[in-house]
Formats: sequence, structure tokens, C-alpha cells
Amino acid sequence: MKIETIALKHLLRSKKQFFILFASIVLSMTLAVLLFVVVDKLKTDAGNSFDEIGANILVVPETSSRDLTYESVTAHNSNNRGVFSSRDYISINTIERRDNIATVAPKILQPVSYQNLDFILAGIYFQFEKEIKKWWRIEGEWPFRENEVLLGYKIAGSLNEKNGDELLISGKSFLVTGILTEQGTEEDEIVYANIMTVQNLFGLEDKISFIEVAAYCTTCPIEEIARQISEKIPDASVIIMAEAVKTRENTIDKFASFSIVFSVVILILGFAIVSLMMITSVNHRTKEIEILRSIGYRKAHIADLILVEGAITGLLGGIAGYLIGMSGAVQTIKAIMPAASNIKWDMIPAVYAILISTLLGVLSGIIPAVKAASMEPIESIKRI
Amino acid sequence: MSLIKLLEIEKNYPDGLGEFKALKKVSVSIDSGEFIAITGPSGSGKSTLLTILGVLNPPSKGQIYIDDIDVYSLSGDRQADFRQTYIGFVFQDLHLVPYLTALENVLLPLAISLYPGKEQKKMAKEVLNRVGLGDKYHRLPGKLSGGEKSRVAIARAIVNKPRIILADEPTGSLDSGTGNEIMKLFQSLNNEGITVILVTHNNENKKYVKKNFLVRDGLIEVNQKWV
Repeated sequence: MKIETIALKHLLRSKKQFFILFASIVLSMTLAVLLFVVVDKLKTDAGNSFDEIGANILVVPETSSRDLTYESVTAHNSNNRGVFSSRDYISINTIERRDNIATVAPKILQPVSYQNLDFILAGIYFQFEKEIKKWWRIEGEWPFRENEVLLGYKIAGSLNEKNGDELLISGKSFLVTGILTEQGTEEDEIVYANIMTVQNLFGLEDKISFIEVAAYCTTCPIEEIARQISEKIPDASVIIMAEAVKTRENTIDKFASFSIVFSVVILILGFAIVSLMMITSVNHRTKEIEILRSIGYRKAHIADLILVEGAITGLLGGIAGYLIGMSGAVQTIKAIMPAASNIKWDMIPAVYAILISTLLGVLSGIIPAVKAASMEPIESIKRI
Repeated sequence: MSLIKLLEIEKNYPDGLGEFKALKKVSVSIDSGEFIAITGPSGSGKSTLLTILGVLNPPSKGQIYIDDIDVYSLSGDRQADFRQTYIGFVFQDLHLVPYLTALENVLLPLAISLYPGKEQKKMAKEVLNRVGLGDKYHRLPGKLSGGEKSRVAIARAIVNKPRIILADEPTGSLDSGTGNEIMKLFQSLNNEGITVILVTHNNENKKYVKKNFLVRDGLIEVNQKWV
């Protein structure tokens, strides 16, 4: 027989006491795991949503002249250099981390004049812009046909154009179907048309001025995605939009901090209760502990006995708490996020959860163990 | 040859503003293989003497040598080791651990020894067989009679093969027949050379002991015969 056996026998045969200790650990581990997993899933989901609604990578040609600009990209004349081809745009979807690419939105920029006003005509894929700029609000309708345009807020005012009006650009008549609400950016001064219409109108077939990319960066550093794009398009400057990344990180960090702080608080409270119950148990076992001291148990043996009980309870409670917490998290996520992907039952988080629980079980036993070890054998004899 | 030597042992307990002298400059020697009864009126210092002999209660003054070792000069851990090696206790209330079976209770002193598990079990079963509980290894204390509990306590005290057994009123709560059986068990252990020292009030135990320490007012009167 070993000290561990005595600890195990005590737990198994003192069922009521063990059940209370075990239930406390299971409850706190369940709550901590449930909260952590659900918030982690929310964090991932929020991160992905964040990534989808704004470009976090800008792929631009290496040019430097300043003219009319959009997203810091200069709009050149029709015969400009430094533009990409459709092949470059497609190649972004072939990088190793292509699963992290949410949306690729290529654009062609062309400086034009109308009613003595110089402005940029941006050729875009409207379906991709809808994805990448979910905050855009349109008065009217998104353009659908090849001759339909969307006007920025200011340019609409400058040109005095409304929905349903016609616009003549380079000899082609366009119908205004929508006006973008005020953005407070360069976007207010742009006219948006179908990318292929602009390419054909100005003889820029297969040309692209720049590309906006929305990438999921929860599972992959954005720097790595940018590096892989650079490899595919060597002549491009691949710019990480630091502001977007920083905002994302700040938002996501709040989720992470929330889940960690609350999980830790729950665990500390749970195990403080366990510690108090173990102290009560030690008080009830005074006679037994003093007898063990009388028959030759050192203080360290008594401390071991109590710590092993804490470890066993923590281990078993951790296993049960993890299983219940994960099951609860799966059901909670199904209920609050029906569209979310399933949670993975990975071994590594399970091992961490069980190790933490076991460690906390031992930590909870420290004060009771010190108390038990400080009991002197003489006390039991005095009562005889 | 003296196994235990008490040299001018004093034990004082705080008593209000003063001190109560439980033992007053007591000096006695106990040879190896003796069978001693400590008797005396209540409050005379019997239990104090027993706890001092058991390395559980340091004297206020004086020294005690067991096997020529100044036991109270040892560190706390060494005192614990000493108790485990040299002394077997049989407590008045037996103090069996309620959640351990008879076999597991007997295994308790061995759990901190270097004996391998199989050897431990063999030793524990041997002593349980010796005290007549060969068929009750797996009974919890709550399912044993008073006499059987006493036997388990004795088995636990001797499983480590101690040189000294200290027992406090081992027959106090037993009927006469069972009490005699327990005393015969102590006698047979003593016949094997183990020094047995017990506190008792029971006159029926006279026939088993070889020497009597009569404790009275903190002093010890050594009688070669318990009269």
C-alpha cells in the first residue's frame, strides 16, 4: 500500500464528501470550459466577420506619381504602366493559404472628365464590393447591367446627378441606379461602373489597377498571407492595412481577455470553495491524522496524503468537467450560432484542461495540507 | 541490558498562573523484553509517562534514551522515523481508520516503509492470521466486534516488528474473556522478546505482567511484582 492508495480509498469510501468536492470541481471546470469554448468560437466568428467586411491587404503596382487617387492608388491614363493582369488577380486564389482568402476585389481606375469635372471612373465587380464593403449604404439600387453606375456622394452632388439620370462618359451613356451615402473618404468622389465595361471602353482589356483582399487572419498571421501573395505577384507592393489589422486585433483581444478573465475567476472561485471544503475535511479527520503521525508518518507524508486527494479529485473533476463543458458548449453554439461550424474535440485542449484542473486540485489542497501536517501526534493521546 | 533509560524526567503543564507538575524528576530503566504495567490513580501522570516513552511528548526537563539514542534530541522527522521503527502503539480507543479495511489498517505503518507492495501484504496477512483474523481481512472496522478491533489495533502495532509496544488500557472496553485473550496475545509477543508497556486499571492483568510502575503524584514507584 502507498499513500496514494490511502488517499484513493478515503475518496472512494467517503462518498458524500468526495461527491461534494468532485461536484464543485466539475461545476467550475464545466463553466470555465463552456465559457472559454463559446467565447473562443464567438471570437473566431467575430474575427472572420471582421475579415470579411473590409480589406486588410492591398495589392498595388509599384508606381509613385500622384494624380487622382483611390485607396492611395494613383489613377493613370489609359496607356499607363504598372497595372496587373487578370492572371495576377486569379493567382491570389492559388496561394498556399488560399483557404484564408475571404474575398478578392480587383479594380481598374480611369481618370475621366464630364461637365468640366475631373474624377475617377472605377471599374469594379459589384458582387465582390458588396462582400468587402458591407458598411456601404446605397440610395437606390446596386448597378446590375453593364451600362449602370453607382455615384459617390460628393461626385453626385458636383455633377448634380440623381438616380435615373444619364451620364455620358467617353461617348458611352450610363444610367445612374444608386448613390453611395456619404463615407467621408475618397469613395465619395468616385463613379463606379462594371469592371469589364470600363476595361472595354478604354482599351484596358485584362488590365487591373489594384486589388483589395479580405483575408481571414484568425488561424494565420496576415504577414504570412501577404508574403505568399508577394511571391505570386513579384512586381506588386503588398500592403497590410495596419489600421484594419489593429482594429481587428483590438476587438478580438477584448473577446480573448473576457473569456480568459472570466474562466480564471470561475476557476479560482470554484477551487477556493474546494480548498475550504478540504480544510473542513481535515478538521474532521484530526484524530486519524494524529494517529498516522503517532505511528511514524512524517509531516510530509500527511501533506502528501491531502495533496494527492486534491490531485485525484482535480483530475477526475477535470475530465468530467471538460466533457460536460464541451458538450454544453456544442449545444450552446448550436443554439446561438446555428450557422457556425462544429467545434473540434481536440486532444490538446482536453489535456490542458485536465492538467489545469489537476494542478488547481493540488493548489486547493496546499492550505489544508499545511494545516494537516502541522497537527502533532500528542493531541490524539491527550484525548485518550 | 537497559533498552529505555529515563533520567530525571520532569513534565510540567501550565495551570492557571502556575504550573502543574505531572512528573517530578523521574528516573527509571526498562530492560529489553520486560512486560510492565503502569498503574495509578486518575491524573497521576500515567498517560504523560506513556506519551513520553512513545516519543510523542517531550519532557520539560531530563533526558530519555531508547537503545542509547537521545530520542528528543532528534528532529521531528527523525522522531517520526524512530516511532515507526521502534514503537507499536495500541490506543485506548483503538483509533482504526474507519474507511480502511482490517488489512488496510494493518498496512498503514507499512505504507511509508520501503517494503514492496507484495511483501507488505504478506506481512500484514501474517500478523492478522496471528491475531486470529485470517478470515476478516476485508472487513471495515464498523463491521468488527470490539475484540476484533483490538486485535486489528495490535496487528497494526506489531506489523513493523517494533521493539517496544505501548498500550493504553487495551482491555478497558472489553469483556473479561476477550480481555484475557488480548493479554495472552501481549504475553506471547513479550515471550518473543518485545518489550510491552501498558497502562491499565484492570487487576485481572496482574498475572500477565512482570513488573509494575505505580505512578502517584508525579513520582514512580517501581515494583517487581504488581500487588
